[in-house]
Amino acid sequence: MQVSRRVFLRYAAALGGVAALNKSGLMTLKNLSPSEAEAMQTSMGKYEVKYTADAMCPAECGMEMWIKDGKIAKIYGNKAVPMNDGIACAKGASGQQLVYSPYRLKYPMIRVGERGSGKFKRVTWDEAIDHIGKKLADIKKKYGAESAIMDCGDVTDRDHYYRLFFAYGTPNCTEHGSICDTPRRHGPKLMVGGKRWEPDIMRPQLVRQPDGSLKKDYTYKSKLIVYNGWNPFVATRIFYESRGTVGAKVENGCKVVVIDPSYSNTATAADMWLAPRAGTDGDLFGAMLRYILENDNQNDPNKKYINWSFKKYSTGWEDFDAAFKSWWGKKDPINGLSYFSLDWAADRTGLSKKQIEDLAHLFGITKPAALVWGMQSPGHHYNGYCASIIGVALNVITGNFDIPGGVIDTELVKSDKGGSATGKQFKSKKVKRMIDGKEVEGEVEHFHMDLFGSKYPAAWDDAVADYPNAFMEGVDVRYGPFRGYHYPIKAYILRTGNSILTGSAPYKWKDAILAKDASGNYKLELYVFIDSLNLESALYADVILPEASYAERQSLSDIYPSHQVIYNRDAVIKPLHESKKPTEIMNMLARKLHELGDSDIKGSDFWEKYKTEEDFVNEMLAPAPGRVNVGTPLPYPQYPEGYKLIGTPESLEKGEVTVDDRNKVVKGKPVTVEWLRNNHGVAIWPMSWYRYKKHNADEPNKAFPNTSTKLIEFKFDWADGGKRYGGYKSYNEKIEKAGGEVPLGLREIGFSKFPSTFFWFETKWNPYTNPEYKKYAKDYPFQLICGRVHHAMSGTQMIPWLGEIKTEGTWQPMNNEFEAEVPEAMPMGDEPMKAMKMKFKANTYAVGTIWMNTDDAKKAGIKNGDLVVVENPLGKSTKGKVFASGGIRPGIIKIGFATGGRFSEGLGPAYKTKDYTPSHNDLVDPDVLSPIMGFPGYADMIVKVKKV
Amino acid sequence: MLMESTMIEKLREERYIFNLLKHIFWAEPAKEFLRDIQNVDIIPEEDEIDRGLNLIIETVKSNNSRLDEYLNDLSLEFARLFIGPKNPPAIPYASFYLSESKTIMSDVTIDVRKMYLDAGMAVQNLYSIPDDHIGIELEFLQYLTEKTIDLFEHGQREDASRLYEMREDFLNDHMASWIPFFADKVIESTQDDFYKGAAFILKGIIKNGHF
Repeated sequence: MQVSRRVFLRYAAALGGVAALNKSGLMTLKNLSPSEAEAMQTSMGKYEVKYTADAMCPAECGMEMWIKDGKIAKIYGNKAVPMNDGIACAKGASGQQLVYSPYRLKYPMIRVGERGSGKFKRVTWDEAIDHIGKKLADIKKKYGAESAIMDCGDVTDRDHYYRLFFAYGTPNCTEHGSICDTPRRHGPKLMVGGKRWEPDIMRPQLVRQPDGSLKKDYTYKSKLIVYNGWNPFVATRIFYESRGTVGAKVENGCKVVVIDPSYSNTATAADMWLAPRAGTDGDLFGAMLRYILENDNQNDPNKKYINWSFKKYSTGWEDFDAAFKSWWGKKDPINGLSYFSLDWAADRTGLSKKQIEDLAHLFGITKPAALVWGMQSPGHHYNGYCASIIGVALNVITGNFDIPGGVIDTELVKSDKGGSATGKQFKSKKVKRMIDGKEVEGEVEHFHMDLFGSKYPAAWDDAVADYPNAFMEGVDVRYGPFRGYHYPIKAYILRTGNSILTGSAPYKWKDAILAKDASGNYKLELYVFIDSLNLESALYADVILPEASYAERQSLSDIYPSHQVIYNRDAVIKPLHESKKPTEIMNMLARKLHELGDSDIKGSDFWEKYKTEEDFVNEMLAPAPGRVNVGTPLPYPQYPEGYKLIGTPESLEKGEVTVDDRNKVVKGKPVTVEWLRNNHGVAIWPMSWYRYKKHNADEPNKAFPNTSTKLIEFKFDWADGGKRYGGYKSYNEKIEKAGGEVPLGLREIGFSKFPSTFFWFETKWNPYTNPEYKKYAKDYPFQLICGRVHHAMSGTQMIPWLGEIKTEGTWQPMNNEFEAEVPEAMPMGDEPMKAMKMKFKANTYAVGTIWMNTDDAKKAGIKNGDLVVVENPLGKSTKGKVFASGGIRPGIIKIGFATGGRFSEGLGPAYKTKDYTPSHNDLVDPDVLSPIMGFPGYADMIVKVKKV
Repeated sequence: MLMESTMIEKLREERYIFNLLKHIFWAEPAKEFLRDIQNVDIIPEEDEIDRGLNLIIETVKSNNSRLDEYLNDLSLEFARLFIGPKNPPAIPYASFYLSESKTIMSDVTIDVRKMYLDAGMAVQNLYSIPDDHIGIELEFLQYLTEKTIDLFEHGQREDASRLYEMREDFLNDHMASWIPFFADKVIESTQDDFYKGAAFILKGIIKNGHF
């Protein structure tokens, strides 16, 4: 080897200066002492098994991760967790692809160019926190803390952020649940104080045996499951439902009915697939209820639909029944037929009378059965509330609520968690504002943009979709002590969400975020994006904070089981790059606000109290399981029925408890992170059924469900003995106190207050049920619906080997030829890079597609794979390729949720295909916000299709 | 076999270059760093190393009157090329180029960790910062080079030879397998002569069997 001295001779002197920059020695490496080196040598290559909860999708299955050399080496399902019973799906098993993605957010960054230009520079955490802290302090001073929205995007591990912002002084903390399936859970929330109703198919269940022992029970009891617009085989929020549905079919002869305009993956396992028009779920449920009420005959075993014992455990049926029947005498202006009759429903749903009758009969006669409705039905329609309420009634009157093999309200029975860590207590802090020259005192809570705002004061779970309006116009407080107060929205903190793409129409979000005032400053003064992934919403942010991924932070599962189960989301590896855990981010920002003089933020509530993330999670675990000792078999026969249970399964079992008779609480040793770690990561308390009645008598136990009367409530606002009851009571009281001022949402449907029992109104943009839209039917002959492609959500589009797999008709191999860097097995050799950039031939890679019926396509001269424009009556359109098949009802078009038009490069191949993949949300009417809770009518739209 | 004094001079030269590159690829440049570079003169170009050095020197000199803005430009370009938030075109980790999964922290990273450990070293922020970041690998080379010089100068020839071998192996067996691809990525993705120049030097080092 010849030595060239030129560089040395010519540059040495000058570069000496450069070298001098390194006076402190090593920048990135350190010398190990011999003992340190030996310790590291010895530990290398060894596995350590840790238990955690997944967050690759919202199912949050229990996982077992094998850690070697500080990295995740293997991922398995955790056999101890009944949610997934040891299974890891392809998505769960792909965790490393996301955690170790080279495209993760790695460092805090501050925007340099205009919003949306995507120009950022790296800053230190101190700089980023300083920037955010100063802005927040300034906004609080100028406009009040309520001007900040903390949107946690995903429900997972949100509590740290809620706590901080409640303490800062804003009640406007939310997560995506507010736009996810709100109307779906409305009926359960109103009538039993719960949320999501699911079939009793989580297996195994831990069940108390007659001899007092506990047994893992794998037997299925279900005989019929009706999934309406619920597609657990694809949109898995509740993982056990996919294997449970098959299990119940195979092992217990359970029949499965799927009601969905499209032939979903779940429909492929069904005994019956019914494909009604979109947005007619409530029509079908209403017709089922009418049929059952009209045809029930207690003396005929083939017509004994109703189990009238439900009346013992409920109140208000007479009112509900009368209100429902009052519609039978009315004629529907759209078809002149009597509401809820078979003829009426057949005309509106497009199903035959026979199909509806058969379904009603089947559901009435089969026990145990579960009628379940999902996000892709009531959850996406303006009037979904009505379907959800009738759905509850159907399950209750047929005697299927909370029976073995029936339907379970998972919210009522899941373990409690969060406790005082969530910081709810900060919302009751007293604050003052000047209104019309007068000083008014109220609580932080009373600023809530929805609960006390002018639009949706019964928005139990907030209304994210309405944020663009709030950014533009601010919030009018019309209820509660601050009535008459107006405040702007000036700060938007978005964490693990992608609201610009998914929170209703993206163009409206972009307009609102980019809007400037007269002086040329952004109206929204601060926009922070916190996540592990770079999603579209990050491109518009002022500051990006990299959050530790789900494998790098500590928290708890958030799941929907049939009884109390809670498991650890353990931090199985150290946070990569410079990402930080939510506890650290909370503490850093809290400390900064405190330093800047915010007296609402105290060290004793944050950094002094939570020295580690484990401290925080232990506080979250303190109330677990927090449910009452009710049902058959009684979970703990040794304790009084109806008492609240707190503590580890172990301590409750062994009797290491104190019994507080005054407050009716049995308290064992608190569940802690450490306890979970020592018990395969999971705490499981016993299952029981019939939780609404005494275990030894046919009468209510007055401890369950969670309503004002502790009974199932068929009426929603009533007075009795000088006291007022019901799920809508408090909202109507607000309206009354405000002199009868009707909120915007109710005004839209012609209501003057929240109804006291059964109610009905029509959905929007549906020419087949709402006369207002009949005129559009000819020019816009298709109804547009959407649905999730499980493995093509934002987080997993980054994982090409998941995205590649086709799903139903909305995610098909219809790509144009493109090049992308994807992980493919590479030929070994001298040049391993040659195979890195893959060329994907046309039609080999699954992309977002437009699913339509073959006959519809033929009529329009459209062939499979043709590029089309889908346009709505608002003049908005999206482009994509057609997947034509018989597996969808004629007159329906389905597009996957957020599958196309993805304009963030971080999404890999999905970005490459953005110009010919459809964005369903571009077609959503941003002004269709459902009247009670303000969520967007994602599936209320009609369109026409033109070949490009 | 080279004369020992010649070899030491060569090593000194390489140490400077590794140090220069380490600073360029580990973080956004500091003002002091740019000022130092301004003191270097342009030379006739014989190979990619010269070409790279000249590109850097010329561009830094040409921005003499706007050094603060230039620093800002460079920090934006650094973020765009190597960090994000949009997909950075030149991922600075070996495992991205050498693992089938194209992820970071792969077995390749662990192999690099083992090589550091053989030299009695470890990454300061172990398990968080991937060991095979180009900046860390360059620092490792710089360290080995410096140590080798030191040992030679103190007459510990056996130890010096051992470290020299280690250095050669790391450079030839590991870095040569990915650096050219990384450097090409930089060259094709940037209009900026500062980073383009640094990438040419990287390529030159590997191509020439160092110098």
